[in-house]
Amino acid sequence: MNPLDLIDHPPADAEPARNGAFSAQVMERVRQAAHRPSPAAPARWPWAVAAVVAALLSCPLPDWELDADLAPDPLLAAELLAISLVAGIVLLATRRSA
Amino acid sequence: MSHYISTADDDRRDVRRVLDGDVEAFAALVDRHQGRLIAHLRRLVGPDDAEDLAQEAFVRAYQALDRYDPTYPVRAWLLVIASRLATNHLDRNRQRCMSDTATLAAPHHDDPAVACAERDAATDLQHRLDRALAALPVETRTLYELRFRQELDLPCLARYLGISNGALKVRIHRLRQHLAGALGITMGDTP
Repeated sequence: MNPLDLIDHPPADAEPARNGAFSAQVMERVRQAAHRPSPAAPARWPWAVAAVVAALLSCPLPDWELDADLAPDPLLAAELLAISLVAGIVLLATRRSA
Repeated sequence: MSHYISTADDDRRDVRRVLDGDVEAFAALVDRHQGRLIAHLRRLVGPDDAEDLAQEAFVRAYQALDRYDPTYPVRAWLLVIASRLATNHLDRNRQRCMSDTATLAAPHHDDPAVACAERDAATDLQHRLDRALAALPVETRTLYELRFRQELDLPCLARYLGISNGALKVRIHRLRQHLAGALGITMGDTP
């Protein structure tokens, strides 16, 4: 026999006959896996919440006591909330694309 | 040939059924491929752990079925999953099962002439090849098994290994050169 032929075409291994018990064990594990949430898809909402909180914390809030002109008003609160949400969405998008 | 085409078609149909929610259709894939998978794993990790790893390979395949690329055969995909599990298993245990097995199966003779006189030449070549394979790092041995014994085609193998066709050809050429050297023959340098 040509040694190169032996390297390129090694004899196939004998395959064991189909084993019903093996199949049953595999299918039992597959059925269990089918009822579990996929580990490949972890929830993303904690990151979204963390990003929004981080954005809120990073926003400079006016010091009401030192600057009386900046009294709390609904418009300012709405602006702060909008800025925080935009920042949170940007942070989240950055993380997902990384 | 028609048998393989038919099997590939059946595989794709069963994968589609499982993805559509019919979990029990996966049993057909297990029945169809368990023999080859176990035989492949026996060669890589030895007989004791082969069935456990084959089970694990099927479960991993099921969990990753939505990422299966139907342009490649299911058989190749399963063999690659099983090979990765075998590599991790051997790395973990730091064992060289087949090294021991090959050594036991083919007692070493210091004098090749004596060995050839005692055995049929083809059997002797086979034992020398087994010993050379057993001495290889597990990743290289796995590459040999997938390419030559399981006959996975180059594009498929390159894709699953995450390397280019060219890089794969170079690796395979070096592997053949190494094995040819172990069998006492010389090859050219061109892949």
